[in-house]
Order: sequence, then C-alpha cells, then structure tokens
Amino acid sequence: MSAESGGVTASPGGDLFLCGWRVRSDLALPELTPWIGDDREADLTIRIGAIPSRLDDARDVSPLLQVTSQKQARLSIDGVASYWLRSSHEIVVDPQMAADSPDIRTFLFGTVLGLLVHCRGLMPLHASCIRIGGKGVAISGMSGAGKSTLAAALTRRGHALVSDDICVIDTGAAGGPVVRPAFPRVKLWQDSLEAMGLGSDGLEANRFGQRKYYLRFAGAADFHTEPVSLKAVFLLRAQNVALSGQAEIQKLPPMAAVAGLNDQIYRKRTAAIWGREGELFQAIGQIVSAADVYRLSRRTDFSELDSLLRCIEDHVAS
Amino acid sequence: MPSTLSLTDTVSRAQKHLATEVDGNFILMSIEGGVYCGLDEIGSDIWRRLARPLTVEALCQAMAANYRGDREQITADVLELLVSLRDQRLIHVG
Amino acid sequence: MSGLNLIASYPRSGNTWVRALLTALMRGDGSLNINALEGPIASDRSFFDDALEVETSDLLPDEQRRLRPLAHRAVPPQKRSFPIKTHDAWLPAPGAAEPPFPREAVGAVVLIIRDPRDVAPSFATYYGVTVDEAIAWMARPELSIGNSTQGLRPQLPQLVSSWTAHTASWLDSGLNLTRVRYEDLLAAPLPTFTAIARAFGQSAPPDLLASAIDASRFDRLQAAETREGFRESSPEAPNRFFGAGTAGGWRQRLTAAQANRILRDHGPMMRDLGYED
Repeated sequence: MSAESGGVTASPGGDLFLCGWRVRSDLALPELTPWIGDDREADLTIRIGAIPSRLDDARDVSPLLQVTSQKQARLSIDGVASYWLRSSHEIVVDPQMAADSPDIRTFLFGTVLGLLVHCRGLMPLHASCIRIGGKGVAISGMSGAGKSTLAAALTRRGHALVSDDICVIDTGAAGGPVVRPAFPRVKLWQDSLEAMGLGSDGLEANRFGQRKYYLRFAGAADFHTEPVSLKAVFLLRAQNVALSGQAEIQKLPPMAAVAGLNDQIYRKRTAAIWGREGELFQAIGQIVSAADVYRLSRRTDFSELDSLLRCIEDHVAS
Repeated sequence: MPSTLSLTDTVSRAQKHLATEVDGNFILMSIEGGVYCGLDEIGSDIWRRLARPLTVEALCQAMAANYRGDREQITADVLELLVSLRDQRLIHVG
Repeated sequence: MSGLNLIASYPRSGNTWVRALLTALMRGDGSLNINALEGPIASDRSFFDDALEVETSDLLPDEQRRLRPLAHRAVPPQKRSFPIKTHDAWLPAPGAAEPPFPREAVGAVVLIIRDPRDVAPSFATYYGVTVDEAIAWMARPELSIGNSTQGLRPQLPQLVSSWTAHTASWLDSGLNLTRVRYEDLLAAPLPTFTAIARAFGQSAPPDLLASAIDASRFDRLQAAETREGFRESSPEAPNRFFGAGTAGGWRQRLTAAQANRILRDHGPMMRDLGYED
C-alpha cells in the first residue's frame, strides 16, 4: 500500500478498466485504472455531447430520472450535468460545470453506473467490496451504515479494494457468483477520515462545498482487476446506542439473508420497471447459496472500528 | 373465501410472486404483500409441481406416490401448505 | 383511506408514544417491542434515496430541501401503510417551493401538541443542550434538525421552526387535521386515543383500545428502555428517550425566569391551546 491520494491516471487518451469492460471516455476519469487487457473493441464509450430534454416514451421514475422501456435512462442534476444512458455500450454526458469536476463523476459512478449494470444483466448490490485472502467480501447497507469507512479501513490493513458503494455481481460465472472490480476509490465524510487519522487536504470533494471526499488508493496491492468469488456479505446496521440481548454479529438463515439482500439491490425501482425483479431475486438465491450472509451491528460513532475490522477478518477466515 | 380447499380445486402459482432457490429449497415472496415464505424440501417439491395448474387431488396423489407415509396425513399436510400459500397470495385457486 | 397519513408534532411532544399506541393496537395482543415500532419516519434518508433513485448523501442541503416534496410525488403512498411520523413544520424549507409533503397527497393528519414548558427540558436532554439553549432554539423560526456537515445523518434536514410557528403552520394548513393535546392523552387516554385511531380510519372496540393503552403505558416503555435499550434514543442521551411522561413537570424543572421566557416567546399560542396559569 502506498499514498492514498494522488493518481492512478490513464495515459492521455488511453482506454480504461471498469468492471471488466474496456472504457473509452471523452471525460477524464482519474479514478479508473488503465485498460491492460486484450485488444478488443471498447465495451463502453462515454461521450460528451448534447442530450434531448425528453427521451422518447420516457416515464419519470423520480424528479431527476427518466427511463424508457428500451432500457435507456436520462439523469439530470441541475448545475452539475445531464447523463444519457443510451445503450449498454454508450453513455452521453452533458456537463453544466467544468468537465473535470468530481461532481460530474459522483453521479456517473453512482446512479448511472448502477443503471448500466442493470442494462448489462448483472446485479448491482448497494455494497462496498474487499478482497480478503482471495475471497470477495461485500459490506452492504444503506447510506450512512458505514460501508465505505469499513472498506477504506480494511484496504489500509492490506486487503485489496474491489469496489465502493456499488458491488457489481455476476451470478452467471462458472463456479459461482463473482464480483467485478470497479476502481480503487472510496468516498468518505470528514468524520470517517478523521477516525482513520487522515485529513482531507488535497482530496477532491464529492460535491463542491461538501465535506465528503474522494480517497484514492494508488498502490499496486490495493486493487486487482480479476473478478473475485463472493464468499461473504455483511449487512451493516448502524445504531446510536447499545441494545442488550442483540449480538453484534449474527449469521443469517437463508430466508433472512434473501430478504436482507433484496433490500439492498441498487436502483431497484428502475430495475423493476425494466422487468428485472424475477431474475434479480433468482440471483440473490445463488448468492445466498454460495456466500455466508451476516447481520453486523455497529455504533454510529467510530469508537469500535478496530474491533469491527478484526471481527470481519475473523469471520471471513473461518 | 373458504378457509380450506377441496380436492377438486385447481391450484397454480400466482402471477405476482418472486421465487428463488437456496441450496435446493425455495424462498418465495409475494410482490403485493412483500412477505417472504421459505419452503422445506417437501414444500419445494410441491412448488415445483405447481409450475402447471393441477387439481389438489392430483397433487396429493403424486406426493403420496413419492413419499412414504400415511395417505391421509400426506393429504392433510399438502392441504395445510396450500392454504398457507393461498393466504399469502402465492398460489391461485380455481 | 388513501393518501399520506401523518403524525405531526414538535420534537419531544409524544409522537413516538402515539406510534407505540398505534403499534400496540395493530398487534392487538397486548405485547409491544419498543425496538420494533411501526411507522416510517418522514425524513428517513433511505426513503428518499429510493424515491429519487439517487443517493441523497450526494446532494447538497439546498437540493435535498427542494427535492423532498417532489420525492413524495414520485412514490405514491402504499395502501394501508402506517401513519408517517414527522417533526417538520408545514412550511416550505429554504430552497423548497412547498411544504415537505405535497398537499394533495396528504390524507389525515394528527397533530400532537404539548405544553412548551414541558417540551423544553425534554428537548434539552434529548439534544444534549442546556434548558436555556433549548428554550432559545424553540423560539427560532429557522430551527432545523438533522443537519450535519461533517458526516452523514440517517435523516434529511427538517425545518422544525419555532414552537409557535410550527404549531400555527399545521393548525392553519387547511389539511384534514385532528388536534390532540399530549396532556389530554395522559389525563383521558381512552377517548383521546379513540379520536386518534378514528382519524386514521381505524375503528377498534374499546377493550382493544384499552389493552393498547395499557401496553404503551409510560412506565412500561421506560422499563423496557432501561432493560433492552431503545434504538431511537439519541447519542446525547443514550437509552433515556422516554422521560417522565408527565404533564406539568416543568414546575419542578424550570426556573421562574425560564418559564416566563417561554410564556413571553409563545404566550398567544399557549393561551389559544389552554396552556395558561
């Protein structure tokens, strides 16, 4: 492991790696690693260009998002950018601020990536993922549960980061579900950085003026591009206070595991419109058959961070 | 809606449900109710047979042919499961 | 009964108690697990993440305030869903064009009101501030809760406003509103709770109502919190959520100057509601 900030940047104009896809992008994407795979054509093109204000036959999933039955989508964040997921191979971005602003990538690697994953028939789980002893370990839960904090802290303990916030799972792989690595970056709030003894100096802000930052990992050991078998999922629950009679960690029986994972499918409403509910539910069964699913309760403060990390490592090792 | 089923009723999987298998056993969810239902090995066998509509009687016969046990007891067990699946809107009756 | 049903109140005014009562009524078996209370919370971040299909943690505070009412239009309320708890005032938050819920989506509202002299000490304990600070906060028209710039809170920011402005905003909202005084719920639980249940379209026989009232008695809630902990309690006052649950406790807990200050800040509204001595 080496410096956490600073860049793994692609050579100018070079193709990039994202979830196993070869990406060609007009937009600078400094968090992605260079493509070092075969000489295939690009799987995904990200262009800067104009976007229609209304997609044909679109329905509004939210005030920010239009989707069509053809699996196109248009996301609009006023003052930041509009995004058009035009096909499973093409994303058009229309920036409303400097094209190299991190704000633009915040939504590109959020909702837009999640919808692309649905388009490509894979499962986006709301989770960060870490490679521990060759096993894929997903840390899932709603925003604020502590996914990114735990993933960053585990990376700093020498495990490789697989993804942050969106865990792209391929349940069709021979040999069971695998996670496709995304890029070596996590998003952390000021309080999480401080809990790890890090400062925010020199880090890009997730949004202009927001105290949530991009923390990039640049060491060769911090990130690998090969898919990793998913062997454990921790469903995080953050709570203000200690409750008695409740185990900190609990292995879930199959039904509770299925229910817990089903709650954490990323961009679930659009997925349902796209008719994916049935296949995603089946995929969850495959995940639960192959991986141990735990419920992990943590305090909202970071007083117990070290013991949580050891708890995760111990359960994965056993 | 009657609380029990008759042997002449035809049963089939409901339209609005999700199903998945964990280690060979089914876990179901009714989309309307949002409730999960886990089936054991025998329940999962019944669920597989419900892929096509059939009468309760035919189902009970098939189960009796495949499992050892008292015929009346098997019929009672099948009926109990079907009633529970119906109440969770996971099967369609009629 | 369709639409968003709301349990509205100023913080520390009995909202959770009413949720406990309604949960006990729904269960109908006299048992109550305080860590499994029913009911969504209006400002719950995960609701908005799902409704917007965007992480609200990636949105700036102005954007969150603007989008909150719009999110409720994107996700219509589910039929038969439990009433939603809210501490919001019925006012547009800064940057928003309308109050936090779209008017046409709102079904029944039960507004719970409590003597601000009893609210203040409870407010101070919950938020970990002095009583004088609590009194000052309760007089601020711009008071908002759920804000943090350093880290992420599980709830979106909510404009609560001052006690008087909050109360007036709901009373003058023109919504289908049932006004309930916390003090009446304590003094005459059966008729008061009956009115709440009826407002939400739940008619229940008196014995069921009575058993729900018994299951959610304050001493029971308090004992359960001491025994098991309460996940909705605040980090500033862990597992001390359920306070005395009394009316008029302010006579012991406030100085004369503090009581006078509240009277000065909120006198007209207090008199309208019968909080006068």
